Amino acid sequence: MGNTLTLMTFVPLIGALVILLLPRGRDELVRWVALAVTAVPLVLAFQVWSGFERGTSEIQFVERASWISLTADLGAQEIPLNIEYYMGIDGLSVSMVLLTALLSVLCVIASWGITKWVRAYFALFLLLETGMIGVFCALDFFLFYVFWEVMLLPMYFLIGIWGGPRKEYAAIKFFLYTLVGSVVMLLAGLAMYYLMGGSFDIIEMARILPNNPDAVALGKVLYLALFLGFAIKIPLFPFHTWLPDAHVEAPTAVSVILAGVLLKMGTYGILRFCYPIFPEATQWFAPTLAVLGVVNIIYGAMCAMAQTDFKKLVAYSSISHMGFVCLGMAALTPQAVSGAVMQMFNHGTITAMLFLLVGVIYDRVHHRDIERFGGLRLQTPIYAGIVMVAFFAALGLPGLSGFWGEAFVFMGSLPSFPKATMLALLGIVLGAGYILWTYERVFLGPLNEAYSDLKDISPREIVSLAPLMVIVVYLGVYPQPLLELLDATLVDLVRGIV
Amino acid sequence: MLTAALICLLVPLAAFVVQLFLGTRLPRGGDFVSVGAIGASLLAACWIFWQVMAGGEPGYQWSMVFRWVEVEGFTIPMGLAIDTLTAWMLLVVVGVSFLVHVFSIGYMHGEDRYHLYFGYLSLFSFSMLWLVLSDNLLGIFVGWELVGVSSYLLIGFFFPKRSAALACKKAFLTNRVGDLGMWLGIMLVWKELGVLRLEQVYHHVGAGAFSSEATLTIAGVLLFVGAVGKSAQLPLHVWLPDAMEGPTPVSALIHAATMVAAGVYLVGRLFPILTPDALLVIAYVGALTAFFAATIAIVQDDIKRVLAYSTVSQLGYMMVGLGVGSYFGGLFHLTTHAAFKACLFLGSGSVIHAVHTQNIWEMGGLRKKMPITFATWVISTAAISGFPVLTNGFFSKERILGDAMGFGLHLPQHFLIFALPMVAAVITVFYMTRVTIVTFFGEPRDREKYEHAHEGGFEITAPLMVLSAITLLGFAYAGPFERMVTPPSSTDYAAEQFAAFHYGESLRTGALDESHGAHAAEAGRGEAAHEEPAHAETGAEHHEAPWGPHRVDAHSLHTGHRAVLYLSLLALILGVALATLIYHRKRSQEALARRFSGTWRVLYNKYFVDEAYQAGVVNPLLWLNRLSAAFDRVVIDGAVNGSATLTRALSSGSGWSDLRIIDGIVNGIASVTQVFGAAFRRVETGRIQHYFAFFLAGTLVLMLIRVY
Repeated sequence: MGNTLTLMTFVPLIGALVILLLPRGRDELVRWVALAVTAVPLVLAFQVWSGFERGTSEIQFVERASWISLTADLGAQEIPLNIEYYMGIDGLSVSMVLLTALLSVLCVIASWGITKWVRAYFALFLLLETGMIGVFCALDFFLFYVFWEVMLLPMYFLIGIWGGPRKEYAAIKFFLYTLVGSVVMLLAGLAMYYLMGGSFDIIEMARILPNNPDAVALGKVLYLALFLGFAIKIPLFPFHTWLPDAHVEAPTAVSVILAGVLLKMGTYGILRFCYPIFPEATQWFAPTLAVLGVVNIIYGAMCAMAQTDFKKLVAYSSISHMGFVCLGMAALTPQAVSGAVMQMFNHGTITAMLFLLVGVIYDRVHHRDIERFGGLRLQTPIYAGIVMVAFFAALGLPGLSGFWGEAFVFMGSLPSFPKATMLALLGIVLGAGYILWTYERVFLGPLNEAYSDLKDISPREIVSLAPLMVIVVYLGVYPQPLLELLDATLVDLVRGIV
Repeated sequence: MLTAALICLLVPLAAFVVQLFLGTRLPRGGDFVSVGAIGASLLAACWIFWQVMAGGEPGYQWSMVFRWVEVEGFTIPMGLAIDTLTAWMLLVVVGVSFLVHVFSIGYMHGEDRYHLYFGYLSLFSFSMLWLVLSDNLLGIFVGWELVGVSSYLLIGFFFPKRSAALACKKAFLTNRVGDLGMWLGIMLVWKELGVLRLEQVYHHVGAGAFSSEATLTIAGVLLFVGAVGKSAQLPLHVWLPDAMEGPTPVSALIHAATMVAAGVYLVGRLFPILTPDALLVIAYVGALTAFFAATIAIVQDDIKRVLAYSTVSQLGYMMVGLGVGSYFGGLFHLTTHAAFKACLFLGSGSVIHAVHTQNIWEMGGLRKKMPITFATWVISTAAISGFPVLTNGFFSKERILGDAMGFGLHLPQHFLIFALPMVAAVITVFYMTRVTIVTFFGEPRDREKYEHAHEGGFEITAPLMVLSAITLLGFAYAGPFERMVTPPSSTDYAAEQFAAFHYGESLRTGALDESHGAHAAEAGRGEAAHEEPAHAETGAEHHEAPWGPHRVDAHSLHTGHRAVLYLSLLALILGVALATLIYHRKRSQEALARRFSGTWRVLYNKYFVDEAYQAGVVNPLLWLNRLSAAFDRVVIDGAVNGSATLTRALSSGSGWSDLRIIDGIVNGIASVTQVFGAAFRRVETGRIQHYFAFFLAGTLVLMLIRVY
C-alpha cells in the first residue's frame, strides 16, 4: 500500500525499458508485454478505488521524500533548492488516475494493429503513461513539471511517426503549442517558488500563498500565466486549433489518450494550481472563464457540425464538451464544480469510445468521410449499436453518464451565470444536431453498395470498448460512486475560494 | 405497493435487455418475452389500480424515496410515487401498450429486426412508466428523454428508408428544443427552491418560496415548452406527422396514446404551481394547435397523417382543458383519447396491413371486406366526434369545451380560447367522416388491392375490439375518474390561496355568479396571489375541496355546458353532413382542390411551417456552421500558421543575416587578415639580405618624407 502511486507511475517506465531490450521481430510478444505492463497500474487503480477514503478532502496515498536538496548562493539572498518527490491523490485527481490507468490498457488493445516499429511504439506509449499518471499524482510543482514534460515527448513522436499524412505538421503544432504553455507555466512556478521562500509543495502553496501579500499582488499575473499553459491543453478558444489537427493525424490509441486524458490535464491544472493558490484571481477571472467556456461549447459544436471528417467532428465535439467543464468550474458552486470534474471523467470515457469507434471503421475502409458512408447499420448492426450508445452518451442522454456531468454543471451554474448557462444550453441542442445528423448520414438510409462486404466489429475491438460501455451505463444510472469520490475535495476547494 | 410498482416498471426493462442480447437466438424473435413482460406489468398495474381505487380516497398518495445522489455538496433523492392520477396513467399506458404488443405480433410478422422491434417496445414501456411513476422533476425528465429515444428508435425502425431516417432525427431534434425549455424550467425550480420532488415543490411554492410570481410564471411556461415539444403543440408540432414513418402500432402507442400525452400529463402534474398567466399561455397554445392541426387534417391523403394531425389537434384540446383550469377535462380527455385514438390507429394499421397502401384514395369500400375493423373504426370515430353519451369522447370533450366556454364568457378578451376549439370540433367531425367515407364506403378505387384485402388474424382484431369496448364504456368510468383524480395536495394549496386556484375557481363558479366570477377572475389576472384579505371568502370555499366533484355537481354550471352540448351536436351533424355531401357522391377531391386552390395549397403544405423552419432555422444554422469552420481554418489557424511562417521568415532572415552579415563581417575580417597574411608571408622570407634591403628602402622613404 505504501508505494501504490510510485508503482503505478513507474512500472510502465520499467516496462518500456524491458520492451526495448526484447529481441527484434517478436512483435506479438511486445504487444503482450505492453498489455501486461499496463495491467499493473489498472490493478493498482482498483486498489486505489477501494482504498480511497470517501468524504474527506485529505491527500491520500501520500509518498514523500527529499529529491534534490542543496543551497544555492544567489548573491545577497540564500535560496535553498529544495525539490521533493511528493506524490498523493485527493478527490480531484483520483478519478483522473483511474481513468488514465483504464484507458491505457484499452489503448494497448486498440493498438494491436500497429505494425510499424512496434517496440518503439509501445515503449513510447508506456513512457507516456508514466508521464500521465505522474502528472496527476505529483504534488510538488517541479515534479509535476518534470512529468508534464516527460509526457510531451512521447506524444510528439507517437503523432509524428505513426500518424497520418500531415503528421509532421500536426506533431510540431502540438509540440510548439504545449511548449509555449509549459514555459509560461514554469516561469509562474518559479515565481511561486520564490514567494514560498523555497518550496515547490503545492499543498503548502495553497495554504500559505493566499495570505501572502506579495503573492496576492502578483496573483492575477501568475494566475494568467498558469492559466495560459492549461488553457492551451484544454484547449480553450482561441488556442484550440492544434487539437483537430493532432487528432486527425494521430493513430487511434493516441487520439484516445489525447482526448481522454491530456485535455483533462488542462482543467485539472487549473483546479489544482490556479484555484487554491490564487482564490482572488480565480474570482476575478471566473466570468471570463464562463464566457470562454460558453464560446467553446457553441463554437465547438458549430464547427463540429460543419465537418465531414468523422474524426475531426469528434475532435471538435471534445472542444465543445470541455466547454461544459470550464463553465462548471467558473460557476464556483460545489454542484457545478463537482459536475465539471464528473464531466472530465465522463467525457474521458465517452470520447475514448468515440475515437475507438472511428478507428474501427477507419481500419476497414481507410477513409473517414462522413458523406461517403450510408446505411451501414444494415451491414454492421453491432457496430452501429455500440456507436449509438456512445453517441447518445455524448449528446447527454439521461441514463448514460454524459448527462449527469452536464446536468450538475447546468444546475450549479445557473445561479452564478444565468445568461451564460442559458446560452450553454443551446449546446445540448447543437450537440444532438451534429450527433444525430452524423448517425443518419453514416448508419441510416439505404446501404451504400461500396460497403456491402464490410465486416462487423471484431471481438478484440469489442473488448476494448466493453469496459467503457459498462462504465457509461453504470454511471448513467447511478452517478453516486463517481460523485462521492470527488465531492468532499471540491466542496472544500470551492469553500476556500468563495 | 413497492413490489407491484417495481414489477410494473422493471420487467419491461429486463425484457428489453433480453431482446437486445438474445433476441435473435430466441424462437419467434422472442416476441413472447416482451409480450409476457408487458402482461406482467399489466397485472401489476391492475393490482395497483385496484388498491388505489378501492380506498375511494381522492387524496391517496403512496411514495417511496430512495437515496440516489447524496454528497456533501448537494443531495438529489429519486423516488416513486403513486396517487390516483398515476394509477389511471399506469392503466392507460400499460393497457394500450399491452394491446399494441399483441397487435404487433400479427402486424410486424416477418419483418427484419423483429426481435429489436419488441425490444424497443419494451424499452418504451419502461421509460414511459418511469416518467409516470417518478415523484420528482428530474426523474420525469429522465423518463421524458428515454421515451424520446425509444420514439427515435421506433420511428427509425425502417431506417433503410431515407424518409424514416430523416423523420427520426427530426423527431428527436424537435423534442430536444422543447426539452431545452423544460430543462431550464427544472433548473429554475431547483435554483429557487433547491428541491425537485413534486410534493415538496408544491409545498414550497404554496408557501410563497418563489422569489416572485413572474418567476413562477416563467418557470411554468418553460416547463410547458417541454410539453409543447413532446405533445407536438404549435410551433413544435412538425415532428409528429413525420413520425408516422414508424410502424403503425408504434404510432398508435407512442405517437397517439401515451408518449405524446406525456406533455399533458406533465402539465397536469404541474397544475398546482402554474400561475394564471402560465395557464393562459397553455390555453392559447392549445387552442391554436387544436384549430390549425384540424384544418390541415382536412386535406391529407395519407390515412396515418390525417390521424397524426388529428392527434395534434386533440392534444391541443387537452391543453385547452388544463389551461382554462379544467383539470378533469384535460386529463380525462387524455385517457379517453388514448383509447379511441389507439383504436383508430390500430384500425388504420389493420387497413394498411390489408391493402398495403396508406393513401386513402387507393382504398374504398373496405367495410364489406373488413367488418370488424370497420365497426371499431366507426365507434372510435364517433368518440372523437363527441357522439353523445354512448362514447367516452363525449364526456371529456364536452367538459373541455364547456369549461372553455365558461372561461371565454367571463374573459371575453380571451374568447378565442373557446371559439377555436369549437370550430375545430366541426372540422374534426368533417375530416373523420371524410376519411371514413373514402376508406370504407363507396366503390373500391383500386380493384387489385381491394380483392387482396382481408381482415387480419385474431391478434389484430382482438385489440381493436377491446379498445372499442373501452371507448363505449366511457359512461362507466367518467364518474370514478372525476371523483378520484383531483389536483395533488389541493387542500394544502387552497389554504395558501394560490393564484391558480382563484383563477380556476372563478371559472367554475363564474357561470352562477357573474360578478363574483368576474371579480375572482380579475383578481386572478392581477396580483391575486398574495391578496389574501380581499378574497377571504374564496379562500374559505377553497377549503372545502375546491376541485371536488360534488361542488361542480352542486353548482351545475350547466348553462354553459348545456349550450356547449347543443353546439357540439350541431357540430356533429354539420360535420357529418358536409363531409357526406362532398365525399359520398364521389365528387372528386380535385374539384374541391380547384375551387379553393389557394387555401388548399396552404393546407396541403401544412401552412409551409416546415419550409419556414428550413429557411429560417436550419439553413442559417448550416451557414453559420460553415462560417465558424471557415473562421477556424482561415482566421485562427491562419494566425497560427501565419505566425509560424513569420517566425520561419524571421529566422531565415536572421539566418541569412547571420550568414551574410555577421558571418560576413567575421569572415571578412578573416579574409582581410588572410590577404594581409598572404601578402606579408611573401615578405617574411626569413632571409637576412631581404630584411636588410627592406630596411634600407624604409630608411630611404622616411628620409624622403622628412626632407619634403
